[in-house]
Amino acid sequence: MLHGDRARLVRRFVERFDHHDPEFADEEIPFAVYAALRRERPVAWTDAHGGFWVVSRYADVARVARDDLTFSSARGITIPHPVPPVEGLPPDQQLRMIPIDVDPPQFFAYRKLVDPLFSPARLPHQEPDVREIVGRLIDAFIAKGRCDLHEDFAKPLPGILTVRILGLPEADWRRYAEPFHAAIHAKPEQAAAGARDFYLDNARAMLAVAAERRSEPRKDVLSALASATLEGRPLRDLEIFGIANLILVGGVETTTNAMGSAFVYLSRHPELRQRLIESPGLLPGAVEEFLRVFAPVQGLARTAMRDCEIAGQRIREGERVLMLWASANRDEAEFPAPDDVIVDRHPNRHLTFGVGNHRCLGSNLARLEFRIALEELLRRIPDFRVDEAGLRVQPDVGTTFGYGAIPVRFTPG
Amino acid sequence: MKLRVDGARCQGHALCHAAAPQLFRLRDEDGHSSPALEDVPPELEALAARAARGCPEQAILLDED
Repeated sequence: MLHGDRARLVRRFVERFDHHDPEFADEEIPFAVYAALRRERPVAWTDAHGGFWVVSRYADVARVARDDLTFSSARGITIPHPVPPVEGLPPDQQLRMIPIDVDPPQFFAYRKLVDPLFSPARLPHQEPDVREIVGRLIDAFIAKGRCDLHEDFAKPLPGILTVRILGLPEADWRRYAEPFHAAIHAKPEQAAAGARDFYLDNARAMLAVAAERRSEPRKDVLSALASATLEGRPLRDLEIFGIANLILVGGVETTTNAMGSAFVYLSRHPELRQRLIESPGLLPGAVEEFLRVFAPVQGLARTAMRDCEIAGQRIREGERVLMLWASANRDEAEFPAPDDVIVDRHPNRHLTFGVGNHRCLGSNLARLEFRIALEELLRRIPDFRVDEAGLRVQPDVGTTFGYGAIPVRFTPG
Repeated sequence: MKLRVDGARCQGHALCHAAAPQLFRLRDEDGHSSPALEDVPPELEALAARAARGCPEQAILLDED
């Protein structure tokens, strides 16, 4: 794209933000738009998708995320909402994601139930699973000297792991993961058309497994949910589904996209790759920095529960607010040289996993997956190069930024 | 130097433990943090300050004696 065209496009999105516009789906445009918003319109109104406020500075994003009383999650956390609440139905009968769509105080009861399933104490037991899956995926392509790091690696790793953790049949991972990948990178109208159907399809399959586990429990999440009690009663079907479905989307979609972006970056920056190969001790810091710069989830939404203000801008009750994590992560007021990848950056209080009560449940597992994936790729195919002509950004990056094709070549092993 | 973790702010990011495993303990149930040592020995003060700066919730408090 010509320089002048890009500048005009950025200007258009600054004046009327639309994260789902096809022209927003680009490697650079979203970040140029976020930078301009932070500078010129840190709390910007747009009339796209029924109208919402766009919050782009670190301090404001963190403040909104920490204030669950003023800014509710219960009316959906994406814009637009793929499965809008059915009018007149009480919240506990809605097809919602639990607990991401739930506000305190009820949020805390659910969170207490799911926290132990993903606590850092579990990581030593999960690490061998991650290593086994990573090893098996690399084995499948290493002799060929070429693969697609999205399709053959970044997608199946979290897909297989998440399905295994839930207790669903591992061979079916695509059946569970693909509809989410498709929906998140589809135009909102298409996503909305398919979402309710595949949610119901997932619900039937997950609840059938949960029913089996009730009599024959195993060490998986569906067994734990099938036998869990909340306020002295067993979980209802919609609750089991709401929790399991959130773990599924959180597990498969985010990590895939974050890892893919890091692989592309490493292919383009051989000097950094060499440094990581020589000093694997830098990897945990590098993972943190890739998470900051390549936050997969660009932002999540809240709804104002009363008239309030953000950075002096008046917000009215009922208005929606998009908190741009990906912009906050590049805010020069919080991160010096924000667009540079500095693998030993400290502090690195990025908002990729959110902040406040709704902090990503799977953050520690995601870090583990990401680190082992990098470790093993750099060890086994250290000279991989992205075929830039075949590299494709997803057709919609408004909710989650990522690549849909990452063809690479390397020395066969 | 005294080390405290504000339990109302900690959300279990676990970055303090990654930065300074000798200074923080993570609860098994939810990964929320608490000090492993309340009195930070002088040789670990710089590390404690580093962990405090890195907390996304700013939940770590250091008090000079």
